[in-house]
Amino acid sequence: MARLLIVDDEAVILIQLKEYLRDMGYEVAGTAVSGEDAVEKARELNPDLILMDIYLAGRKLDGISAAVKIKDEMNIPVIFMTAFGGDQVLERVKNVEPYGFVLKPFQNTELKAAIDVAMIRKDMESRLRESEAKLRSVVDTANEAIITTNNLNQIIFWNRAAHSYFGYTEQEALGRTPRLLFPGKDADYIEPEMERIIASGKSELLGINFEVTGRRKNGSEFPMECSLATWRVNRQVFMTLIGKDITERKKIDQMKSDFVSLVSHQLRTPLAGIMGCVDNMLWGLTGTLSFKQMEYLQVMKEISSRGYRIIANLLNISRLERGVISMDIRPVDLCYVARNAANEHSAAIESKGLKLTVEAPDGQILVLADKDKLFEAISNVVHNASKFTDAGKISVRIFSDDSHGKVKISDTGPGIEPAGMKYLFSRNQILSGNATYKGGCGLGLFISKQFMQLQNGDVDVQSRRGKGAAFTFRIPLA
Amino acid sequence: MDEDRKPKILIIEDEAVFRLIYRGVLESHNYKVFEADTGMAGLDLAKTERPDMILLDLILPDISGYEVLKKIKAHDLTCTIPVIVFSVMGTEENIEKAKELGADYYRVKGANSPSDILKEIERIIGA
Repeated sequence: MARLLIVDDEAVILIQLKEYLRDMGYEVAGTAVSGEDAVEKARELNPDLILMDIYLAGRKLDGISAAVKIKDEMNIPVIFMTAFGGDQVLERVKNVEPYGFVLKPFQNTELKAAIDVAMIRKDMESRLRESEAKLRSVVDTANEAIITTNNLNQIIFWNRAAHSYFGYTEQEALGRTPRLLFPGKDADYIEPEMERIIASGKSELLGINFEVTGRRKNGSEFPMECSLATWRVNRQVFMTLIGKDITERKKIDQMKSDFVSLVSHQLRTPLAGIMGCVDNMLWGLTGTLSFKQMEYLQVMKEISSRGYRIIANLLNISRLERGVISMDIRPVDLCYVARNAANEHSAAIESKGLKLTVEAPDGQILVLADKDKLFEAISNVVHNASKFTDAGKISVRIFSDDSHGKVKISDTGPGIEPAGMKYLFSRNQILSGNATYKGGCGLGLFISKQFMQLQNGDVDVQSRRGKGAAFTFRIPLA
Repeated sequence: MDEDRKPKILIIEDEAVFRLIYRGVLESHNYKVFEADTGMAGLDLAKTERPDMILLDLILPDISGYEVLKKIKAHDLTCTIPVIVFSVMGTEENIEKAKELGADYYRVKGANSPSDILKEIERIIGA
């Protein structure tokens, strides 16, 4: 039941009102006869609602001034009652954001309706305030900068993390455009996307995490990972940008990748040494070898090459991750590259008792590719085929259609389990539990795919269990 | 072949195993081989022996291979000698940097067999 405070300078009216209100089922917590009195009683009684007469004769504070004081101090809702509704008064009343306004004389039912509406509104407002406070505390506790803009491209919301990231206070940021937060190049990337969202609700930035550079108030820059969301209220478009400072993560990534790179080089040196020595011996530089010696040296050569290849792949992964692989794309002869990539493994293939056939047209097929990366991509797949095939043959067919040069590498191995197909070209294929361990890390196919895609080509596989596998490379013709 | 008319190759490399490997291959094909295990020693030998070709490692104990390369290409006595950079570091950054500094060729250690090396050298100095 609502507890009310009634303020009127006429005692008769107070008594009458008190009675009406009690009859209507409200509790009258108290009455006041002046503005000062009203403020005092409000403090003391903390009522749910105040019914306030505007004209309080002979006192300093009139009803409106008292209501302003009460609203500022205690935020208790007020319904004004007055016999006179002149424009000037109405204007002042409006500024207090009153919960209701009833003109005297009024019917009891009018007063009841005004009180009930005010109580509903009070309840809704307090729930809204509560949920706002909850949201605000979440948003202010967040480590991410949370920034909202409207369809005039103005910042209308700015959380604490945004302040500490960018150095602008809420007051400094509100009303500005998001351009403020990014250096020119990044602003030129984000702003058109935000405009597109306002115009069409669509953007490639929605629903993904993207990296941009943020610019602080002092001009310094930092890497950020952001996501962008949009919503509409009454045909107004809003966008929220959530951004995270990833300076530390970048540093750690860099350290990790430098470490991998350093370790790889350190591991490669002794292996390269062993391979060189073995090569020299096989080449006859240390005198004639017996058949047994040759056999042992071949095995040494193979296992050290395998180690070398694994390390090379780790290095490739680390460079793919860092995005520092550049492609030197120019016209190259696909027949030459693919033939060499296949022949690199011919000794290993033949030593397993398998047959290697290479079928290519006469002349060249000129494609646009990075010669070394194309070689590595094809070589990885031939190497894989030779690892997994125990009987039969590996055939390499080089051909072309109107737009692409193609290389198809087929084997007579066990084929690929349907469940494994999904992960075949992924770097997590070992972790997926679907790969068969065959002296490798399962990184080769991932690298092949990445390399082909970086050269505007691709590699795909077709396979049925027990029927072998066929990998097809394609690369644009020059 | 007369000892004086053999083409001269200078190997600047701190890892003994690679000096052994290259020396083996080159001597079997009638090259005269000089070895240096530091950058400074290599530069001295380059000036005194004026080799027909230099094989240069990038990681050396005193000054870096890049530094050696720069000095070779900057000195009147040595600037015309072709240099093959040999490194375990086969990344674009390394290759690009070596080429900018004047390396004539770049080979990745371990990815090249003795016959590859020899073919390359023969092609370059036309032996």
